[in-house]
Amino acid sequence: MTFDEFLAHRLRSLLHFATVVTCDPDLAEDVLQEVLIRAYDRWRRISAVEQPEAYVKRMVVNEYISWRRRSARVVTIDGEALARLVPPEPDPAAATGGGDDLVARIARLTPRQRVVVAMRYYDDRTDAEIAETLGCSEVTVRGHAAKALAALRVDMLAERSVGHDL
Amino acid sequence: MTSETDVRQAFERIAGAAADPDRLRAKVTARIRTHRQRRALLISAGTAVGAAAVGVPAFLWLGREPKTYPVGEGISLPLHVRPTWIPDGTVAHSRAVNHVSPLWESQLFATPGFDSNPQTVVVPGSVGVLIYVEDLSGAQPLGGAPSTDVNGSPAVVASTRESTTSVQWTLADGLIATVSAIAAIDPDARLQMALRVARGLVTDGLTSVAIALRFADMDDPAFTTVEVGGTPDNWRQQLVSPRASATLTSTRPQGGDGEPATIRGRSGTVAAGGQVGHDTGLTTPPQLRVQLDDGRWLWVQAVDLSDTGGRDLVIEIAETMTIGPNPDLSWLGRGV
Repeated sequence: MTFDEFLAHRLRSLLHFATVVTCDPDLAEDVLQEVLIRAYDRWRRISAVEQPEAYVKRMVVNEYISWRRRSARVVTIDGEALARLVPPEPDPAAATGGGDDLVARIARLTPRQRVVVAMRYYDDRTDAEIAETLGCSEVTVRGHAAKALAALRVDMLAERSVGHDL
Repeated sequence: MTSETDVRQAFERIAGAAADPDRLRAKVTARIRTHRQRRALLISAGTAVGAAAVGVPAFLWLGREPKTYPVGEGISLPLHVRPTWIPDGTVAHSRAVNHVSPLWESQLFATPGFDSNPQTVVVPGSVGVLIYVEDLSGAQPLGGAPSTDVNGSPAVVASTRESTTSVQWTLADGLIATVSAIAAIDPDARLQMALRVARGLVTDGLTSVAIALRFADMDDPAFTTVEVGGTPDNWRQQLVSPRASATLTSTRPQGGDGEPATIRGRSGTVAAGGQVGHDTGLTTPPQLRVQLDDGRWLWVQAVDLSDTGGRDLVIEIAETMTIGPNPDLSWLGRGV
């Protein structure tokens, strides 16, 4: 598969993945652009691996994490980005306690926590695959996942309690 | 309590906010096109070269942009370094100049059949040498400490691929040169090859890159990159602007046909772009192809895929641009 063919077939999927990982469409575009330029440089080697897309996704994760380290950019969801992530139209999921609140909470996870849950629940990766991507142990992955899921659930319960009290 | 299904649905919603893939592809394509040789051969690294210029000649374009020199009806841009030695069997393969910031120029010498595409395996016996000069505003310095010298200037050595060794040094303040040797040979021999080319560079201004093309609008920067490459029998001349690229070739450009159209009084084809692939969801760029009276082919492509007037743009460019006689291309396929 040539680089152009890879781009033609997988760009949309990669862009979605980068957006999920970063929770910022603009940052996702920047990160993926840098990754693809580097992937082009190394394409002979990347195309030889069993799953080039998985390899590039790993590059996306590493680029995102190192990007934050380099720029000290605190990736939080500001009003504009959040408005794009959370459409104004009625969201059926909101009725069940999901939807906008959950998106906002995912956006507020730490980068590594979000990478772990995104790879596990959006990309359907095993803990072993996630561990390889992040360069850590499966135990660490499960630790990130547990904290992330707990944060999502605990935060939501707390807000519901407040709402109920009011 | 949030369920796993809720989390999956939330991620799907986030993914749905992704940017336009066509826009990203246009950016990536433009960057690769403009820098493909350097991207193919230089290492991306984060540390700057600490080398200082010692005893190197001043370069004509240091501190200012190179001028364009109208020649006939085309464009000619000077190259400011010229090798006095290249490996046996190698010949001139391509020359390119980017004349807006970041400034850079490149020359590739290679054995016949050599392909600088990084996807191509360097076969035994195939040799390529890339000479690259750039200003610091766009430089990608090799990492590491200087371990050798080029005519007295400390130089960094790095291997980018298993078949490539690069030598990089500071020519003068704000100007970096890189010579990359690409060959499936012993790394030490490859390093000596790169060093010998580097130490043999001269700055006599006798080399240029010239093309027969010129956009009608020479302002606002009408073009960014000029490139000539190929062989005496199968050459290409390319002019790139922020909005489109125009390529003059000796043989029919590859690709689809598009709709029949009369361009410059000749029968050609125009593809409007905008066709979305069923499995990709991506848009093809507007482009046209036409064979000129003298047998040469003109191929114009829009760069910005989101430009809704892309079809009209490529037609306008093709109709209004100047196409002169070929410049001297006899250097293609020759040694030094």
